[in-house]
Amino acid sequence: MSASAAAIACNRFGLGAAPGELDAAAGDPRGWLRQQLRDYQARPAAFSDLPDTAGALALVPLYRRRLEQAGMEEVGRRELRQAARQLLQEERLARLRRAIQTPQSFCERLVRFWSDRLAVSVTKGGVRPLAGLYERETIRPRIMGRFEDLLLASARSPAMLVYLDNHRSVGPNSLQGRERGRGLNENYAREVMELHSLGVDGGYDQADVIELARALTGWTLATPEAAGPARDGFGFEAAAHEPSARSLLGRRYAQEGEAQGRAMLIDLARHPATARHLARSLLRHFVADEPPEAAVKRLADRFLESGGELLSLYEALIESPETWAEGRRKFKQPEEYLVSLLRALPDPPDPDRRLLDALEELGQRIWQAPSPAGWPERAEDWVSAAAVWSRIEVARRETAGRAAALDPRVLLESCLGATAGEATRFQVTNADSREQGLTLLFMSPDFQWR
Amino acid sequence: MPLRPSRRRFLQGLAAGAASGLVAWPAAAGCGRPQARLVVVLLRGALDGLALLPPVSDPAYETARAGLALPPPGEEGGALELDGFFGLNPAMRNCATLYRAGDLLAVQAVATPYRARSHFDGQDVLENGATGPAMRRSGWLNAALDCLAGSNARPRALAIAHAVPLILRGSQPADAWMPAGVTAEAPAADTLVRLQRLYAEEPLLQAGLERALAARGLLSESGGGGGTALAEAAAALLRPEDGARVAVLEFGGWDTHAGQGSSSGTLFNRLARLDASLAALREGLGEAWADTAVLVTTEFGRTVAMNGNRGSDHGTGGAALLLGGAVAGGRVIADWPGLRAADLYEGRDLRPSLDLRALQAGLLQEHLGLSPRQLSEQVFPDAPPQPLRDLLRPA
Repeated sequence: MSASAAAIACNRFGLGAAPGELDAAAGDPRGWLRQQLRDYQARPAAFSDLPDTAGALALVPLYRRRLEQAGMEEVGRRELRQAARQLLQEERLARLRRAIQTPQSFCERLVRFWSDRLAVSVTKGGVRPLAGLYERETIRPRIMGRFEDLLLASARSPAMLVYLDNHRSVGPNSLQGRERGRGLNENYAREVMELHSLGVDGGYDQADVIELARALTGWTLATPEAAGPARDGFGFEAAAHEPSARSLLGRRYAQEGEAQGRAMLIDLARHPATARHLARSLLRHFVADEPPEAAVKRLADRFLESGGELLSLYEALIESPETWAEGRRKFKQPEEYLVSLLRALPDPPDPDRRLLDALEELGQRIWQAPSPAGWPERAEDWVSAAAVWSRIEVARRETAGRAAALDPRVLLESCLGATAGEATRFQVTNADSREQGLTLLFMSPDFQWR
Repeated sequence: MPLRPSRRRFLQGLAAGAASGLVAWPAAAGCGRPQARLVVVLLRGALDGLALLPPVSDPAYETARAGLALPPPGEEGGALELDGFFGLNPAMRNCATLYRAGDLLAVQAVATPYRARSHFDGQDVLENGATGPAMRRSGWLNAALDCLAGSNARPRALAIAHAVPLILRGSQPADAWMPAGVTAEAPAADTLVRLQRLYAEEPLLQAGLERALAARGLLSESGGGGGTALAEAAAALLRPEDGARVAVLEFGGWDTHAGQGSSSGTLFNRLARLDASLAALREGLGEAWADTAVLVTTEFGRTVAMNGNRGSDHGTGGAALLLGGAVAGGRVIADWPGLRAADLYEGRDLRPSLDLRALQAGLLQEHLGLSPRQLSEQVFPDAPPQPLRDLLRPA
């Protein structure tokens, strides 16, 4: 492998090389990545203080009222909002802390990838107390398993049920539909095909959207009595479910109740179009804004052969020669930028409110993607005058107080290694002060691209 | 995080120190000035000493510095008259006035013991008082304070900066403080220019940066009152009798590799701002100026000859200034090595004839009353030269 391979393993696959990481990866960069997958911890100790499903659900207003009817202490709207905001902040800090400190940053990238491909966003108020829970309890435990399990868990998660409205989708011919005149909400059914599985050109039509939406009626939040600890917060409400057999993508589903939607989601997860969509998404996130078709096909084939094992995708990604090509391929998104900058420091700070403000300034608040499609992936979407300027400000601020203790030349070697180009090397080495050298290092194209 | 209290809190802190007798120089310091204020100005990036103090009467000057040389005093854009041999850069009008008043001493062909040409390492040696960059991770100024710290007396020291620089790091407490508003200032124009070079082959980032710069009207030489604000802040903290006694200021942007200019241009503008900042310091100190010495130094000098981009590259021998009401000024200290090819250090740089530590140590000895033994054992640990004498007026 080339001299750049260790830096590519740390920076293109991972969240940025911490001091010493390039050396650790240098002997066998691919093996180093595979070892991370083997060492993956689905529930790191850092998250142990954060609430479980029942705790987080108790902060969702519509759910809180049901709990209060069942006897829980009443709280005012403002208090509830305040508590949800507080929890969101703690969840965000925990995610940042994990990202900065983890020795398995390739795995953290994968967590972020899935969290963003199956995105929920706190732009919808009810999602605020659930977004962190979703990533911790829905995404993290399933990214090394089969995609269908991940997709099903996402469909059942309180965060997704609230975010894409399925919790209030009611079959018109169900008991509730006939009694209360409530009806279907297509939102989740459409997005799950367009964004989470088949992809927009995956061969479904409006009739399929409606059939899937009907099948998923009754998929909602658990009743307070059923939402105990260690449950996922999902409930099936038979009285809201649209009865009768349905057909999706030309296949007939005669199951009754919850089993019908479940069977459809599993078939969507196993569909060849889904394999291509996931392969393309993964390559777009890790390798190139416009991933080469040959690589897409290779990853998709491996995934299908494996019966939908996500590890087969990651293994194919590690083996792809395209992934290891030198040169600037992907522009770091703001959170990745900030995390990689902090990881590069020998003694990174523990995340606090200030870092969350920095992320806002940089234009990417955690779990606040503008749409269900998640954050944009193309460099053009991230580079603007404001973006460049805020990165300068943040790079200066995060290094200014430490400049006297840091040598930019040493950091250049420990975070970029052989991927530091001549121009970057020259400017960093010849900066007029340590402080300036650090700003130039972290603003260099070699650092901002991966 | 650097300590960044509000100014009010900071001043209250100083007053509290006064109440408990913490800010006076210890009586034991003996021969120093009881009310001495010491300011060290670090010019990061290697100021061109030959532009600051041009040897206008050296017959080799014009040729050796072709493209960068200043006209002699009296001519348009000419150097300001100092001692008949050396002139002062025409941007330094206030400093020329101080020189005539006997408040400014200029030093030429001076260098730290460091002989390579890295800014970072050079600045480390400028600040750590040792002979190499890795030899000490604390500063000579802090070591000097340590010598003076009695059991109940501790002169207050601070840096007007985002973080305590190496020169003030060590066992004695020192604060970093920035006046409100200055922290939010735009990055140095020099940093932005370097970023532009870094983005030369990077269209996306280049376009973003250019639009950001255009939107903010940056890179214009007219702005940059920041230095004056910093000097005023330092003066306000040093002036009260119960205020701080030692301050460090840092100014960047001296790394003039391209388009340096001479009677006008980049370096001229930067020197004019330095001059204005020093004038603001003098103004702000009021009567305390009489007890003040300000040492202005940089990590090394620059090449004698102009480079291929109408600038100068990293060199060796440079210049320093010592100013203040306590300074026995109105003269230039220089054991002039000359500018002919054979005179130059490694064929390119002004050959240093004075160890900067002799100037630093002389100042500490006469101004703060450190003993020769303290200076050679604690402050400058690697066999320093004899301290210069008679730098200051008798107290």
